[in-house]
Amino acid sequence: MRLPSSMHIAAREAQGLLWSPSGALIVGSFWVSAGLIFMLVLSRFREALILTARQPNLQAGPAGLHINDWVIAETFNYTGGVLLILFVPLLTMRSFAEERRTGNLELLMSQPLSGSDLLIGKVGGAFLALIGCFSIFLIQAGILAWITTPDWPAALVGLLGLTLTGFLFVSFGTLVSILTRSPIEAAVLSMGGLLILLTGPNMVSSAPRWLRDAIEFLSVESRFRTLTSGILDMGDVAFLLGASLILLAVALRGLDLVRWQG
Amino acid sequence: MMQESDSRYLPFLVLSAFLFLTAGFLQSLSGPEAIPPKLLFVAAASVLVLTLVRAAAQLRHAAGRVRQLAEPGPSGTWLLLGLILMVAAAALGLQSIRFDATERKIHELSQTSKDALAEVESDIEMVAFVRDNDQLRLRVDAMLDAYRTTVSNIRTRRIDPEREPDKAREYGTPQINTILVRAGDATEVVDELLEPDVTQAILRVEDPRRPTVAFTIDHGEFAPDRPGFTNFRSQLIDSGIDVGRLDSNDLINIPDHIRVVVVAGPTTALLPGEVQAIERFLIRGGRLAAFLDPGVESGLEDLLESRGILLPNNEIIDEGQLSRALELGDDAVAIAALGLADHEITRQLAAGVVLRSTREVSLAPKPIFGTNGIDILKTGNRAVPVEPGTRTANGPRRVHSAATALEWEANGPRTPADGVAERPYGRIVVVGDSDFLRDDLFGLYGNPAFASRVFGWLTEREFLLKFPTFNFAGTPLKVSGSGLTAIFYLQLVVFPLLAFAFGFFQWIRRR
Repeated sequence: MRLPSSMHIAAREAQGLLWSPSGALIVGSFWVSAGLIFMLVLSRFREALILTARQPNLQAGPAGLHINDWVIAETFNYTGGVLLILFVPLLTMRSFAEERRTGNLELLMSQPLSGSDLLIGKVGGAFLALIGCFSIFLIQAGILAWITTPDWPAALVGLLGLTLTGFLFVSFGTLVSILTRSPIEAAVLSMGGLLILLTGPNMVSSAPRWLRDAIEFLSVESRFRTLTSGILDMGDVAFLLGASLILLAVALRGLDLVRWQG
Repeated sequence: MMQESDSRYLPFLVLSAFLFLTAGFLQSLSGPEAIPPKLLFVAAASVLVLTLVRAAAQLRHAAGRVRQLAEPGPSGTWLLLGLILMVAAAALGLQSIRFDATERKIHELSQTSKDALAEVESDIEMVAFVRDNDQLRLRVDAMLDAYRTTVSNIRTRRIDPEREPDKAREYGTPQINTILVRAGDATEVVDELLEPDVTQAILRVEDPRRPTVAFTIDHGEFAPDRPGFTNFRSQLIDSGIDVGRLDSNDLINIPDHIRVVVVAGPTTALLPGEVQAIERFLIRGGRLAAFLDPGVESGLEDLLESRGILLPNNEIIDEGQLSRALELGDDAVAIAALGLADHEITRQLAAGVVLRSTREVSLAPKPIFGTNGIDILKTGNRAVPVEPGTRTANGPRRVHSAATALEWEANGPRTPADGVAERPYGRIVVVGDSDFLRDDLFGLYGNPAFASRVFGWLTEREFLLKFPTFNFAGTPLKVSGSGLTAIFYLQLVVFPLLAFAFGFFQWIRRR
């Protein structure tokens, strides 16, 4: 079966990212960071269990001390709130900015490819590389299955939330990469933009009610956290997908501009 | 979408974003009234507006170029689909469709709560006061989310009183680990953060009938409108209680709207007819608060004994250090926090209670069938019962009880409220002292809180709701310290090293 050209580009991009020394460095660093987070929350959970066993009146209530609340959701929250902001720009910064800098973009544009094929391929490649980074969660899942009894459906919903948020961030990073000429500039602007996207809503807690409601609607973090806590909220899924699509549509128009601007 | 020559505007955009973030960060640290964050906000907005104005021509030009040169493609479709999904997300925010994927179903309310709250029409505000780093936080967040998404007119908020004291003060001086439930002027504070208590509180504030507490007055009792009790009276009224009086004529046939009859410090005994009227009132689900001083026959002794509360005619003299340290006289009795029972009235009291000239009150060794009681105030172990007047010891030196709380199911009418019936049950609180309600003692230590919680408990309404048993189970962790170390090396050394080695191999190969 012949794959669409966008799939070819995606596979080539992912391979270029993961099978390169810099890609391995990115993936290895992501694994170290995710491992640190996992160890931190696991140790905290163990301490809480010991403390609760010593002082039964500290029992946390109906939910008890559950591995999903203390370790799985927290690992996803820290990953989404910190690691994605740092690592997604590293995966997307080169997708277009590097091609523009080296002049390869003109070469690519001269191929019988539509802009959407190229964009889907680049976004798909970065997203696949991100999924490669997420593969550490398989190891962590194996460890958790060995030492405790997690609530797997809730964990899968959390992973879905992390994946959708990752896709949104990749779309944003790609858009920034299209609009800039240097990978470093793309990475810095993407990190800043993602930081504002994620933490901005928390910074305006004293704004008027209507503004807070509007910002709450646009808050990626609260939607992401809802999913990681094990709630499959269709509104959150629609928001994350819709926002990604809007960013991709804008990115495609940006690519049009770049194509004709030369 | 700026051309290269226009990239000079980028630093200004970044500066504006940086100023916005710094302002927000400073405001979260210094509170909403601080001036510097506001100045930074103004500066950030000014930079943004000026940059956009200066770059307006370039932005228009870029947009025009896009319109002219864009190739036909799916961007319009993507944009439309994205907007449809965003509108759907907004719609789903109003009427959410969500599935609780957890096995424990911790994000869903029980069917009992859903049914009970289906008819709630008022706008309800729920504010939780929990520290951000408290282990309760996760559970409280889940609970607030569950209420917010189940009942459309419930708004929720969580405040860390230590990090956001200004916001906490907007709600009075809330205790930590409580949820305040408010509908209009009706407010209730829930300190047992469990679904049954929160649902009951919502139903109560939704139908905020002010309870009436009536004081008997014809036997030398104090009444709240008499001099010397202004603080106590103010506290009752401020907590949403209507205060009334019952003379002998009213007492014979206690009106239905009265929820609690109070007999506070009588100096002569109530008449048998009056006691019988109180008995009938209790049988139909009324509540009684009796503050009975030593050396006085109140007339209520037989009634209370028939319900399992003993009132020996003696006075407690506490020779413990705590009571003596008060320097209020020989008859002062300090009930330390350790002497407070694990009961709704006393559980959350932060300070002990100070009584003066106190009568012994205790539950009978064999409780009356169908009643549920507990001695709520216990002295230290150096308390001695003495005969009032002569001060002759008539019992051993040990812990004695100075107050008792009792409740039982009653056969009274079930008042429907919002389709949910109220549970009829009677309650009695007997305290062996009335002096602590006087202005000179009322402000001491935990006295006002104790009085408040006594009347809160007595006036409480409870709805007939049957909640399912909650799953308290957590998850075990079958790993030792050395197991954790192994996991550490696997996570942080083995797998990352494999990735780095692969990268190094690729680098060597390319060279």
